Parts: sequence; C-alpha cells; structure tokens
Amino acid sequence: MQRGKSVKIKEVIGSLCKLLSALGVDSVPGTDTFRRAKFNKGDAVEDLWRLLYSLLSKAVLWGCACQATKKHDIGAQARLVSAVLWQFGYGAPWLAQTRGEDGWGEEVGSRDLLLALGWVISSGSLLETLLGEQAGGLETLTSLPEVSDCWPGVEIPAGTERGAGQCGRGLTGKGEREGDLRRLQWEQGKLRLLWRGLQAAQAERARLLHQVLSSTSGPSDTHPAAGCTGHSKELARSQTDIQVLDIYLDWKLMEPLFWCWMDSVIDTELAEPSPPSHRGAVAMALKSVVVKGARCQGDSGRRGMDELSEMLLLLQVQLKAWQVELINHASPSGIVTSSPEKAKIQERVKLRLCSLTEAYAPRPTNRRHRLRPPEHPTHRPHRPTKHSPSQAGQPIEAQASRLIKELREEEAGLRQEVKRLRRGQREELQELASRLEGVVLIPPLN
Amino acid sequence: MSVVTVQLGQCGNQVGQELFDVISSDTNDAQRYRPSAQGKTYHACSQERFLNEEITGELSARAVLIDMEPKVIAQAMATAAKSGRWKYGDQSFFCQKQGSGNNWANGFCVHGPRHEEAVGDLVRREVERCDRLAGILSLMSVAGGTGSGVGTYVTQCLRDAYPHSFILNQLTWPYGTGEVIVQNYNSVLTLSRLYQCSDAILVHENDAVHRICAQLMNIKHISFSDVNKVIAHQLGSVLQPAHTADTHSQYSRNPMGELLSRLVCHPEYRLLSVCSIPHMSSSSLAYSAFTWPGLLKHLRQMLITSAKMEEGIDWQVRAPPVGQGTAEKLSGFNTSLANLLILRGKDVSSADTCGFLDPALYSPWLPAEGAISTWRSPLPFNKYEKSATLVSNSQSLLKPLDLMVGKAWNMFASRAYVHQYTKFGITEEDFLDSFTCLEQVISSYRHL
Repeated sequence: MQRGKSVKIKEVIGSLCKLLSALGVDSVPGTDTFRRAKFNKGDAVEDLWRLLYSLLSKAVLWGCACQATKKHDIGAQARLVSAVLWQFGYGAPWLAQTRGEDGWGEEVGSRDLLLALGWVISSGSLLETLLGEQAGGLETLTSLPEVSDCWPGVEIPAGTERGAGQCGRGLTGKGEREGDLRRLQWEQGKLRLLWRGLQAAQAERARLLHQVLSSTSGPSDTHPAAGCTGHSKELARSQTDIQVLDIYLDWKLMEPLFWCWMDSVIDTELAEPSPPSHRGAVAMALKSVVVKGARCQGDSGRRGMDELSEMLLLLQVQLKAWQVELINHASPSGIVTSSPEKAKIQERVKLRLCSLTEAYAPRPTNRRHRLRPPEHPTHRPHRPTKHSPSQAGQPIEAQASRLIKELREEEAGLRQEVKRLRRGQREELQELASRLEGVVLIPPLN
Repeated sequence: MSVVTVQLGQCGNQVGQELFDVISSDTNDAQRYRPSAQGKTYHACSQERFLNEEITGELSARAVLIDMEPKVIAQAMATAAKSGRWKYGDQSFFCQKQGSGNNWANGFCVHGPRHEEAVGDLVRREVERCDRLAGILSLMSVAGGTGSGVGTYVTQCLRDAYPHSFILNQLTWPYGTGEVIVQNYNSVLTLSRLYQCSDAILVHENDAVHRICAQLMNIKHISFSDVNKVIAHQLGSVLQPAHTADTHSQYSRNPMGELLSRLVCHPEYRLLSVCSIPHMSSSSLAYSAFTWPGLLKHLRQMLITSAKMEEGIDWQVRAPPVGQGTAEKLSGFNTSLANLLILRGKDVSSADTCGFLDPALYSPWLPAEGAISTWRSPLPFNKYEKSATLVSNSQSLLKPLDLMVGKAWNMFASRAYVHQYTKFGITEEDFLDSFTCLEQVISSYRHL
C-alpha cells in the first residue's frame, strides 16, 4: 500500500505545485523538494522558505516596512515568515525556540517547514481565497458563498494593519461618524438601485435589438465577432480563468491523498525525532502541548477532542520511544528475550489507550436517559484496569435507581405541563365566549 | 417599460381593480380632452406601463390576481369587463375554493408553498410580455390571511425569481379598532418579512382614508369601494407618467426605479406614506379652484404634522431651526428622510416647491437637495384640474407601527392565539424575530 501511494504521490504534489503556480505564487519548487523535505534533507530548506514567503505574501497585506524586504535575502524572508506564522497562531516548537533568538533559524529542518506549509494551506480557505482573486471575473465565483479575505477562525492581533484601523475608528466622534455612515449607506443603496435600473434598460435594449435583427435579417450568419479585439481579450481572460479552475479541480481531487501523505510526514517526524536541537520526541510533544495550550484559540467544544488527540499522540510517541530504546540498548538476542516484556508493555499501552478512547468517545446524546456512571470519566485511566469487571454490578444498580428518579421527575414535569395547557385552554375558551356575548367592534362601513 | 401588478387577497384585488379603473379612465381622458401630442404620449406611455394590447385589440391589465377564494376575483374581473375600456387577462388569475381564514400562518406556510409554482408561472408570463420590466407592484392587506400570509410568501418568491427587479409592496393597514382579532400578529409577521425582501413598503391606513371619505368627500355611508377608490387615486397619481428630474421633458422610462432611488436607498428605512391634495366629491369638483402656492402650503403643513388630509391641520407646528439635535425636536413635528412631490395639472411648471427644500424638514445626515425631488405632469389627473401628491419616507408611520407592535406584543406576552400559528409551523422564535426586526425599524425611525 505504501508503495502504491508513493507512486501516486508525485502526481498529487505535482497538482498542488501546478495550482500554486497558477495562482501566481512565485518560486514554487519541484515535486522532489517535497519528497526530500519529508526526509528532512537540508537542501530543501531554502526552497521551502521561499515558497512559504511568496505564499504568505499573497495572503497577508504587509505593512510598508516589510515590503522593503530584498528578494534574495533569504534570512529576512525567513524571519518574516516565522513572524507571520507566529502571529497567526502556528505553535510549532521550532517557532517558539527561534523567536527568542536573533538568528533566522538555520537549524530549522525542511520537514518542519513542510509541516508549516501544510498548516498554512489547511488553515481557513487560503487557496480558495487566492482562486477567488485570480478568477474574480467569472460570475460563478462572485456568487461563491463567502470567499473571505482573511483566514477565518484566526483573530488578527491588534498590532496589524486591520486591527489598528478598527481601533482608530472607535475613538473619534460617534454621532458624526454614524451620520456619515448612514449617508454612505444611503448613497450605496442609491447606486445599487441605479445599477438595477441600468440593468433593466440594458435588458430592454437587448430585447429590442433582437426583435429588430430577427425581423430585418434572415437566418444568415452575420456575426461580427471575429475581428473584435475586446472579445478576443475577454475570451483569453476567461480561458485562463477556466484553466486555473481546472487546475484547482485537479488539486481538489488529489487533496485527500496529499493529506494522507502529510500524515505520513508527521509519522516520520514522530518516528525519527532527528533535529539535533530537540532533545527527544517526548520532550517535543510535551512542549507542543504547552505551546498550543497557551495559544489555543479554538472553541471550548473542541478543546476536549484536542486534549484527547494530544494525549494519544503523547502515548504513541512514548511507545515509539520505548521501542527505540529497546532497539538501541539491547543486543540482538536481547530483543528476542525481551519480546514477551515488550508485548506486555504494548498490551498495557493498548489497554490504557482503549480506556482513554472509551472515556473520551462521544456518547449518543439524543436519548434523554443516558446510562452513564455518576463519577467523572477522566479518573478511569488511573484505576487498575483489571478491577473494572468486578465493579460492573454496582454502577448499573445505581443507574437504575437514578433512572427511576429521573423518570418520576419527568412525569411530574409533564403533569404540570398538562395542567398549564388546560388552564390556557380554559382561559381561551372564556375569552372566546366573552367575545361572542360582547359587542364586536365592526368598522362603520360595509 | 411596464409594471406588473400582483393583486393578493380580497383587499389587494379590490384595490387593484380600482387602480386600473382610475388609470384607464385618466388615460382615456387625457386622449379625449388633449388631442395634442402631449395627450397622445401620455396615453401611450400609461398604456405601455399598465396595459397589454391583445390580438383582438382589447386592453388587458398587466396584472395577476391571486386569492384563495373565487368570489372577489370573479367580481373584479366582471367589473373590469363591464367598464368596456379594459379587462383582466382570461388566464391571469389563480384562486382556490378555501380561504386562509385570516390565519397568516396558514397562508404563509400552507397555501403559499403549495401554489408557488402556479403563481410563479402566472407572474412570469406577465413579465415576459413586457419589453422592459419597470418593476413589480404587489397590492395586499397587511393583516388578513390570504393577502398578507400568501402575499408575503409570494413576495419572497418574487424576490428570489427577480433579484434585480424593483418590488414595491402597497399595504393596506387595518382599522385601529380592529377587523380581525389577530390583525396585529398578522401585521407584525408581514411587515417584518417584507422588510427583508421588498424594496419599499407603501402604506395606506384605512383609518386615514376613511376620514378622507367622510370629511372631504362627504360620503354618508362609506363602503370599502369608496375607501379603495381613494387609495387607487393616490396610487395612480404616483404611478401615472410624469416628467422627472432625470428625464426633463419626457416621461420617465423607469418610474419605479426613480421612485425607489429617491426614497428608499437605505435598507433600514423602507416605509413610505402617501398623501394627496385635494380630495373632493366629483360633484363639487367643477366649482372649485386651486392655486399651486395654496396647495403646496397645505401639503407642506400636512407633511410636517404628518396629517393625511388638509382639513384640521395643526398650523402651530413649525419646523425647528436648523442645527438643533434630534432630542430637542418639537413634539408633533414629523422629520422626513426623503420626499417625492408629484404635481399634476395646469400651469405645473409655475409651481414653486422651495418650501420643501428647507433643511429643517430632514434628518441631519441627508442634505435637503438629495432628499426632495419633484415630478411634474402638465396634464390634469383623474379630473382634478390641479393635484399634488407627496410620497414620503418619514416618521409619520412611526406612531401606528409602534402602536401595532405594542398591541401584538401584549397579546404575545400572554401567548394568546399563538397556538393557531404554531400548528402551521410559525414558532415562537419566529414571532420573536419579527418583533426584534420591527423594534429595530421603530428605533431607526425614532432617531431620524
């Protein structure tokens, strides 16, 4: 399976590269760079910095100071890229490390950069936004639902251009601003209405022209389309637009495979924690937990999920670290002898993983009466697993009594509801009756 | 350029029939009494706007009639045919056997979706017969079952089907004393939804029109037909051809667009009210003479006191000096956002409208030059030698709206009749959303 994937992966990455070039991103490297970066080869580093820089410069409006960055100053570009990634909340450990230092992080591996690239592409709808800008002339795209010009879900810190603009607005005279704003809205609405009027006029003209043409000229072909330069220009433009869209569709078909491959990059990263600056996979994973935790901007609902996956990741990393330790520190015969021990460890880990997954697994919530033990599930992993079968009877009993209690409560609630409804009905009947007897106010005419 | 009229429910169909009657008689008069080129162009323009010429030479209204009961539609079609001047298209109506029973939810959630396709086809057929669709005018009551419930649903569908066309909703506001016990609920639900999908909501209050019939036209036993005639007169004077600021000496080809782009550019302010001057019985019409300064002076005072007729205006109310904040505005003064003045009749070019250019009449954020516009037509309208109509986007509907929302809220607080709506799928949240929407509208107008 791995083999089959790697044969196809060149195509997949090729389609991404093609799309990026079509979207006007400069210095897109060849597909081989990606493969080399997966194995953390040093020669891919520069290419990836360039790619990240040009991709981000498409996505972010630099302030004027940043524009002075020289085209070939890779160090400055790298610093800028790191800063932008940090601003937008990418919390990889190498970023945290290099931020404090003055250098631009020569020690950053190409795989780190590849992962960062994956993060950039997967954040929000960057590619779609760029596509919307590129092929803005196509009508279908203008009606695309919300092609936003900023990454959704990522708050831009107040230091950047947009934030500063918003801050400034709040400070000046409110009433006057509001009046101006209304005036602006009024004028805008007026323009919109005028535009609609023009559109109706145009439609009328087209209709009348068609009538004139169809009544004066026969079915002979007299279209003067060929010599018109405006038309050919328009044609060329829409053709390029269509080309870009084709490329984008190709990429969309390939995209799942690309992310599978990115997963494999992450796997490799976790399997061989190679960068010399990091002390070990466990330390790195731990750090990443800390960093992400500090900068977490996700909603609280997803936090639990994130914690779970991070914990799983940690456990996997620990497991792999043990494996590596075993391979390194034991003689070849030792591996054979320790295999039962290894199996035991693996079993233990598996059990813990199982209990963890169970504890965090989403439960069906559409039923009102959930059979759930009263204590918090997070304590379960710390309990010795072999005890759990013997304790099974007690919670179920407790649940039954609880269930009965809940049902009783519900019954009482329903009864009250019935009572309330009855009262409502009665009042309404009374009102109806009173209306029938009383004077109905009928307008004096008719 | 043509306007497709959609007549919904009992009220909409009756008003629509009167409207076409006024328009066709006015158009005929123009041709008869002004055989000059002037009368001919007016006639041709009006005809293109509202009527189709069938192959047989008969004129049929560019209208679609929709009701859940056959009675009113049959009546309207018969009356139209009897006039001999115009008729409704033989196929351009849709009706059912069973009404909505004054239940808005029944109309909106059941009848509307069920007949969406049939109604859509009818409207599309009318639209396709226009060289240019100037806009869709839908006539309905705000409080009934079919008119408001189905009407709201149909308006939403029209908005989906014609996203770039102008949609103007004419709503007839019920009597304050009450025709239907749930009229305030229906009004809240209708208005809040129409506010989202219609371009403008033109409101006629039955109470105000009733007073016009009683005091100005001296009608002893006022029927719905009399009320509808007044509404049709006012609507007709807005919709008939006129020279606008953009077109100078030609009749506007884009009446609906120009009307809307003068009055309802801001999405928070979409309520329009109309008042006309003079109103009088046809018998006394021949013995009256009016001057433009007199008419405009009265109309201006009607605007700032938000009166709907010239009798009993409070002449004490004056525009506050410019530069005062909204908080110090005098009570009883009606601030406008934008006004459209339509003058029709003899010597119309001599009429001086500078009284409406006073910045004190308008909100501080929209300058008076952009807020007032004038349309003129040298031809008399509907037998009135001189007449002036004012379409106003102002605070004048604030009071009735606030009252209506307040009454509906009181009923809703005790959950009275809410189950009649929930059983058709209008939830309490829907009610709350509607209340929120209208409270926002009220607040916007209050702080104008």
